[in-house]
Amino acid sequence: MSYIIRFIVLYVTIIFSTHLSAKGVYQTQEEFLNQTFGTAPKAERVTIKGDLSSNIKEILGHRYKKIRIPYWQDGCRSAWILEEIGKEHYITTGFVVNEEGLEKVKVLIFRESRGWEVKHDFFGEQFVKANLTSKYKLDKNIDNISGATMSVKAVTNISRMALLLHNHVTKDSC
Amino acid sequence: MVSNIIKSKVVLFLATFALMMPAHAEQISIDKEEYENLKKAVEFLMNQQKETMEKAKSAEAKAEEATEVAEAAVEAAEDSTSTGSWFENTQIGGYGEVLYNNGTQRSDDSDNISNEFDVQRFIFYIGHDFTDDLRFFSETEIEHTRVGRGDDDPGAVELEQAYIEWDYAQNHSVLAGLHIVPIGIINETHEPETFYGVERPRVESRIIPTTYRVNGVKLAGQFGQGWSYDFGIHEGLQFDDGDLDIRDARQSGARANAENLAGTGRIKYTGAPGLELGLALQYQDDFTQDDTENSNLRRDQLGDSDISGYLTEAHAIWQRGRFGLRALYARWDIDSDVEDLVDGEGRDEMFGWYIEPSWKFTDKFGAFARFTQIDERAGNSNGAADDSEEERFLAGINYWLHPQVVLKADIQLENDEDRGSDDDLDGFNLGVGWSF
Repeated sequence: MSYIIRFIVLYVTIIFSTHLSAKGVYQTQEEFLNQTFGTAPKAERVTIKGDLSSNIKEILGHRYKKIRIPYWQDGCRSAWILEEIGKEHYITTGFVVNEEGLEKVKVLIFRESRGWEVKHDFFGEQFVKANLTSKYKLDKNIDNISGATMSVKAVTNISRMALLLHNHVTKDSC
Repeated sequence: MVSNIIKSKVVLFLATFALMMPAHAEQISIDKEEYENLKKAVEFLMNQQKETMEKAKSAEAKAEEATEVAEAAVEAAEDSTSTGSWFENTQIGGYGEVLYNNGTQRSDDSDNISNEFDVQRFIFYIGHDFTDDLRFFSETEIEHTRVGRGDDDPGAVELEQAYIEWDYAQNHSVLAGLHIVPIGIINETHEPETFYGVERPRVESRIIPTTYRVNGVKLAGQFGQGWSYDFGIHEGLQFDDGDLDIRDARQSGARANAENLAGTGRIKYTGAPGLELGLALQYQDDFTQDDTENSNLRRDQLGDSDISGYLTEAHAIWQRGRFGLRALYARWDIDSDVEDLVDGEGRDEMFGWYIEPSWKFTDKFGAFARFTQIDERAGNSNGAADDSEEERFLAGINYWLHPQVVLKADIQLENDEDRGSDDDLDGFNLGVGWSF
């Protein structure tokens, strides 16, 4: 039984020697916005209703969790922070969209026990310059990650939603 | 209301114009009575316009107030979804598979030796978040629909997972309780829509006894660019009085004998697009669990011998566009004393591997082929270990009705040296699976 005691001692040592913090917060909202805009513009809100609501439902397979969604816009460039459930918990993801399509996809908070691989930069980089097709699909292939299928699906779906929202708020000005 | 205002303005303008006319046009004489009537008309219209304007302003103010109230209500309703109520922090889900197997022996195609429908598994899980960093998770399984004592009731009700997990630091967690051993590809991620083939890969059933769950504690975390680790101490396997196969040695947390524990460690790399590399090692201290009087193994033939063993597993997954490839190798190296047990021939070494290329033609439709080789008595060629190698080839399709609902079909060709080519089991399998 001595190795069990050694294991427990090691375990307790690790716990109390490690800085405690929340799981999977890779970047805060403020850091994401400041990185994107320098100084973030004032938040605006878009109300999900009518065709916008039904198109989002078609993309996600269900209604979005909020009716009014904040966004930050500077000219024809907008930033969105959206949430979607992977398997059991919400994945918070930041999106930047410009006239060429998706500019940046960054997982900000990951709460699931599995599928954290979507936090990698190489996963988000696959989305750059992706746009929506007429059927609200991405016009680029996104590679799946083994063991992270549900997380990949969630981030892919809300990236489509970010593009749809960007097109909606900029349709008259860009 | 707007049209009324416009009408009032037009009438007022005309009346005012009529009163002003004498000052700027040819002199028109009117008597006092007419003048008074016109004056009253103008005053009436002016009052009416004033009232209309006040009503409009009041309506506008009410509309603005109503909008503010509606927006506040929406925000309050949306905020209420994150107040931490118990039901909001509790998750319910599940998955299941219903299969049809049709297997025949080559010596007599009309003699079906395996032809059955089966609800192979029906699982529901419940999880609960106590805080952002502390959670409970459980999986309960019903196998083969019915539970009883006879052959007519082949089912089981089993707890597959029940543990508390705590994120004690950024990207690092520890769990305690009944959990799945971090080894192989399918063992941890086994929802039917996540893999090809009606049945799970045979290597991950016979060599890695999926679903392989244990009681114990496990540390897990991520480090560097794409690296992750798992390390756990848990209950060991226990050879029973049967034919000493690994699958039957699972204790699955049911009053599990804990005289001789086991440990499992795994390193995984997922730092490159589409790539996963995994390497796992498990040490079993003593398969006989012989420090207890409860052991029913015939250890009197071994004296006080301990039978320890190692399971080594390595796998690779590569996905690029529509192409996918999975390959896995697993091997048991067990103390040679196991040879002295009843039915122990060749059991000191077991191995298996498979390779599985696949192609996804569309988002909904994909095909695969899988070649598997297994030897559960690879230690020697004596007795039951003679011609113990088995090969199996599968090819089939998956059709996803929904990302979480899949239809599956495959054909199977077997080459079991022990049976002889005429008795090999060939056939086809159909299945439907789901998760939510």
